[in-house]
Amino acid sequence: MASQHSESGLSDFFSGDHHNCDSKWVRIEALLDSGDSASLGTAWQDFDQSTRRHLDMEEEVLFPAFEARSGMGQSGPTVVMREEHQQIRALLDQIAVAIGAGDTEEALDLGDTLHMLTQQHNIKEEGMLYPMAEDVLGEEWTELKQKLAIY
Amino acid sequence: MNGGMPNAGLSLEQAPHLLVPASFFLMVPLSLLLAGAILMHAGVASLSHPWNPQVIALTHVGTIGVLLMGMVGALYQMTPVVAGTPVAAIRVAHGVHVLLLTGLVCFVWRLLGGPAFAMTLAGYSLAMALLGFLLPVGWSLASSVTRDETTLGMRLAVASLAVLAAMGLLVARGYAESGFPDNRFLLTQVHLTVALLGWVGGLIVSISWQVVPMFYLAPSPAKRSRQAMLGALVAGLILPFAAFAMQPNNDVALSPTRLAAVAALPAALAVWFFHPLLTLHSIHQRKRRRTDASLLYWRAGLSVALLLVPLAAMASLADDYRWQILFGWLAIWGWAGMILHGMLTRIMPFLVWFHRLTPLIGKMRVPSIRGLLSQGRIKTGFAIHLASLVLGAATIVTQSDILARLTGLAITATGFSLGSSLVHVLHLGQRHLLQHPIK
Repeated sequence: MASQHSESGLSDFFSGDHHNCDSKWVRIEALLDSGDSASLGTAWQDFDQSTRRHLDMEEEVLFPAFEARSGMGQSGPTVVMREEHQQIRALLDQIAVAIGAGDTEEALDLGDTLHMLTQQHNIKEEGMLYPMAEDVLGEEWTELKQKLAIY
Repeated sequence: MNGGMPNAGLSLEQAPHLLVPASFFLMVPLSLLLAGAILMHAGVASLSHPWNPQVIALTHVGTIGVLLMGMVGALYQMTPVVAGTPVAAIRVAHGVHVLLLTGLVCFVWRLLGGPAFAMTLAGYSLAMALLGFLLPVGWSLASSVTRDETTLGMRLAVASLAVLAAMGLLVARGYAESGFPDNRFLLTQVHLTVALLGWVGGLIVSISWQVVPMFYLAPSPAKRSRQAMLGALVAGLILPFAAFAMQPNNDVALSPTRLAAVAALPAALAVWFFHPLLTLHSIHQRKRRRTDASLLYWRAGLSVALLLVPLAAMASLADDYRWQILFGWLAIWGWAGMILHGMLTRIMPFLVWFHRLTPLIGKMRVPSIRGLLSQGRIKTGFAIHLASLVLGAATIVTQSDILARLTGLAITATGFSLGSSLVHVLHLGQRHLLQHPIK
């Protein structure tokens, strides 16, 4: 997945990945609505893995590089982003339980909640964090991109 | 390396306490109860001639009590997230809240027969409230490094609020027996333009560019369209001021007041034609095909907006005063009020969930946002709001006193519906924290 953004800058790369995850959630909603349980399992796995992979890429590659170059570690924006990542992961777990139990309404409602949480999270990342990271990590982007390619 | 690098807005701790936006949001249903009481008490007089004190009172309950309160609460919440800078001295917001409420009550009191000093008190209260709001929020928006169209639109809206407030206070002096200014009608016309198009329109338009794509995964309008709309909005807000340079004349067709109304056309077209058309199209093309109840409000409000340019033309050209009242009714309660009502049903549950329940995620099973406020409840609120809107329009056309009082009843019901929903959400969020043990 990461390779599809290989020609873009840091902001475009991560923002594009946000949109990619959004599209995958749209598919889950449609499948839950239509009751297509045969396709739901695969689609859910795809969405769940894509979302977790995005969070891992940020926490293991982007944030450490940003913190090192900006000097903003303990009190910087990445602290809050990491906290919100944990909340996103926990909601993914809850949705997986609801899907596993066949509770469609609960899965849809929790999915809507996850959507709201991630969207406000994405606004902060796309509006502030990525532009800041692009400023301080511009020269390292090629190297970082190679690290991200393994995800 | 991090000198001058903004990290504001990226922390939940920098968002205001839930009490800040919630206290303003709760004033919206209370103001609806006040509006309903005015309609039930004064009857059709409150939806008749534009210069009737009851009409002016009802209008300002709508603009200050409903729209301003809701929008101020939303700006306190959204400014740190969208502009990326926290609002300084956030505790002042509690003072702003009290002063706005005092100002509104005194304003209405004077217009419904209270003493002149009530308007003096209203003027000072509202002026201090708006200073307390505009300075920190304006500073936060002005110092933001974000340069997108949403932030620019929010800046325009906040600047418009400062201008409309100054003009409104000049006119309000007349009700405090300090004498109306000579150009009262022109001042009122431009006050109305800046209020509806600059403040309310600027905020609805710019916030929609953020929230419609976010909530519904709908396509954003092209950057060029957003810039064109902002440009037209600015032009339509500046041009009417040229009318102040005109000499007063007796030619009704070319009066400064009428020319000021015509000069606002670029802004009116941007806010009440292009924006609703593009946003309705965007909603139609949304990726999330599920119909969320809040979409009902967006669709209804934007559809009403499409009626406002022709209605404004009739209000400006026709002698029948009912056009002016109908225009005002639909603009305040049908367009802006409808969209604000829908946004509150989406924002309030999210804020309660975000502030009260996110600390529990991962430690226990948390309810969903929709679990805090059901879709059925939101749809009921919409139906009552719509009924009151139609009843009010019918009252204006027929000038029926019974219909006016029924409209008051429906507005009161809308207030109860919204108020009970907001309190229900707050109560559930709190109860969940207290009752659910960590598993």
